[in-house]
Amino acid sequence: MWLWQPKNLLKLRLVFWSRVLLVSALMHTMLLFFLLCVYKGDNFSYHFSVDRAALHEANIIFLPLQKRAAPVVPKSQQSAQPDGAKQSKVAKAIKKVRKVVEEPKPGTRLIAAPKPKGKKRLVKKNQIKKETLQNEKSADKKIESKVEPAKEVSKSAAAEQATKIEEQALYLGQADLDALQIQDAISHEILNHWKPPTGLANNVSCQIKVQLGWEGKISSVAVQESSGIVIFDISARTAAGKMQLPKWAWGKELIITFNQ
Amino acid sequence: MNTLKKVMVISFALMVSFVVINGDQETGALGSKTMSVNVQAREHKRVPLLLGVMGKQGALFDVAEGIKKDLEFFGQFSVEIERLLAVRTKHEMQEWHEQGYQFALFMSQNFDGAIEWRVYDTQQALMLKGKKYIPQGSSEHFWAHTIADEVVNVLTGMPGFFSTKIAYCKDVKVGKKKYKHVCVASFDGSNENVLVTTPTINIAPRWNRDYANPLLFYSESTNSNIRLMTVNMNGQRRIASNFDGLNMLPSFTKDGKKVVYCISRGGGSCQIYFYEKGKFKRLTKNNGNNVSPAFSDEGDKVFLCSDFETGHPQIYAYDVKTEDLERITASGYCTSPSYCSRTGKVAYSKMVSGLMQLFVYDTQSKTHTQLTSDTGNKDECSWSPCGNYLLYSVEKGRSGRLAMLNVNSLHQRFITSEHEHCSYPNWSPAYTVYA
Repeated sequence: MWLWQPKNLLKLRLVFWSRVLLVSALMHTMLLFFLLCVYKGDNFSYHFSVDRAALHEANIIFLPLQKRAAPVVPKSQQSAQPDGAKQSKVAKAIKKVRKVVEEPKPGTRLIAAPKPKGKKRLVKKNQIKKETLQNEKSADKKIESKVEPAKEVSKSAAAEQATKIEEQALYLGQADLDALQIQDAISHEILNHWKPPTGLANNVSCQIKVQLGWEGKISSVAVQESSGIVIFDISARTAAGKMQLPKWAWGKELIITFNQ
Repeated sequence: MNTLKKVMVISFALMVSFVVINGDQETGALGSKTMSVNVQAREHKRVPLLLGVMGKQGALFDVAEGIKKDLEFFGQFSVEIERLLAVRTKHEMQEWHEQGYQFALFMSQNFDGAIEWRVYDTQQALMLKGKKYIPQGSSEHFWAHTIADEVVNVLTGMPGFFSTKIAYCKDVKVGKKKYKHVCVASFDGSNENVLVTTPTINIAPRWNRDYANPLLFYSESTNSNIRLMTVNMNGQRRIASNFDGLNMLPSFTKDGKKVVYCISRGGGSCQIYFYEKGKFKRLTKNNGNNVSPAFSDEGDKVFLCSDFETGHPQIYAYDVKTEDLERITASGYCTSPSYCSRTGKVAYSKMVSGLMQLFVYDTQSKTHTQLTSDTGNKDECSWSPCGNYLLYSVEKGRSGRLAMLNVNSLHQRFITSEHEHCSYPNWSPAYTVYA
């Protein structure tokens, strides 16, 4: 009954309202966080479809927890880096795979590949042995030893291939994916309308600046950097004016480089 | 009160973290206000152009037909001729744009006979260029070529070649004897004019660079030698060089003051000689045969064909200042270089699998590119003034035809009949007058 005394009633109400406020604030924050950081509205959905042709057929490694992936350093340059340099988990994983390929299994004995001159000698010896027919078993063993280095060659080739894959791999973060998807969507939309004139040099290009209004309409199209060829500039400008882009592009400024 | 403080602190911390996270998101591709995109064309097509003729004059329609023919030959335009009664409004220009015409060319003829033309960008209803042209002479083809040259220059930034001519040799059979005559025709092989009809073998015509006085140099076979002759557009001939042996294939600088050509002077091998203001200078000093010199516009380099190193003809670049001879082609059988100063490219013929094919060497990137790979021996190539087309002869069995190749689209078209035997084509520069 002490709590319901008139002098304590005010304090009780204060605690109650503060708890309500706390819960409300937490809920709002969570909701806002979910809407703006996780869900991002229904304007743009993350579906992992990337035009491989645009990526020069490189191997793609997605890093969805990173916004931007660090540029890939070739293996030759990596050796020059200090030992303490940080490596991505994916790169480490690939290294592990490579080590497994490179390292021989315990118990297996590696035999070095014979030199070409040695090979000739072996062949000669085998011929002599076949002629004399004295040590058939030893000849068989040597033939086996010839086969084994071939396996090693294939292993080293696989290791080299793994290294090449690692060096050529393309690391993509979330922001990189965004950029790729934008590139893909816009170029797809433009290529529906744009067919430049034939017979121009392959290195011709121009830049068109497109300003999109908040309602999705194109408010202005202008040639920012001319190619010096009027028919090319105007065909690019006409195509840019016909674009219809989704909501995520509204209110933004696009600088599109058109290449012949 | 402590609880309230805690609530405030937690909610503030959450808000700050949200702002930080979301702020970082704004720097991403979606959040930024400006996006840069790179687009590579997959398909190409001709640009639709409306050619509006105002007035009822028949001559103007003939000129319009000539312009249409020229522009469509160029390969970048599809032209529609429409008869108009008056100058169109901005609204009608927009309608044409919606119909797919990106450009409109209007032509009209004044009472004094002057032809007025204007090129418009239909989307913006903006005049790109307009000119009044007073026709000279009576040839409507020539008027059309001149206007088409101007229009192409406005729209593509490249000089047109419709007013230029081509020279070539044509085999003629008189009785049992075979001769080669020198002919001149329009760029597309039409309007042929046989310029040299002497009963002998006349080969390898080359144009001079005096833009007001077009002259053709060619080599004429005589009993004692092969001499170099000149002929003007009226057919008047003169001897240019009459040394013993061969006198062939002159090539001029842009100003027309310096010339290189090959002479054997009775010796066993052909050498390249330089001539300027009455002074002769021997450029090549080797035991091989040095032929087909091609002078650069500035006169600093000569591209030539020589077999002195390998025994097979190779393409060389001779530096006039340092007198260095640099080999361009590494191997094979390479002949007849032709240099385009506008693009810095050397076109030549090289034997591939027993057939002569066309190649291009870029002097800047120092790379070789094969242009043709179909049947027929392609030889004696010559650049158009714009540097986008090559004119050359194609020999298949007994037939010899002239063909033209767009070096960008690699589209080839024949310009002479398969029943004739034509060879040694040479494309003229853009002369200011023609007889």
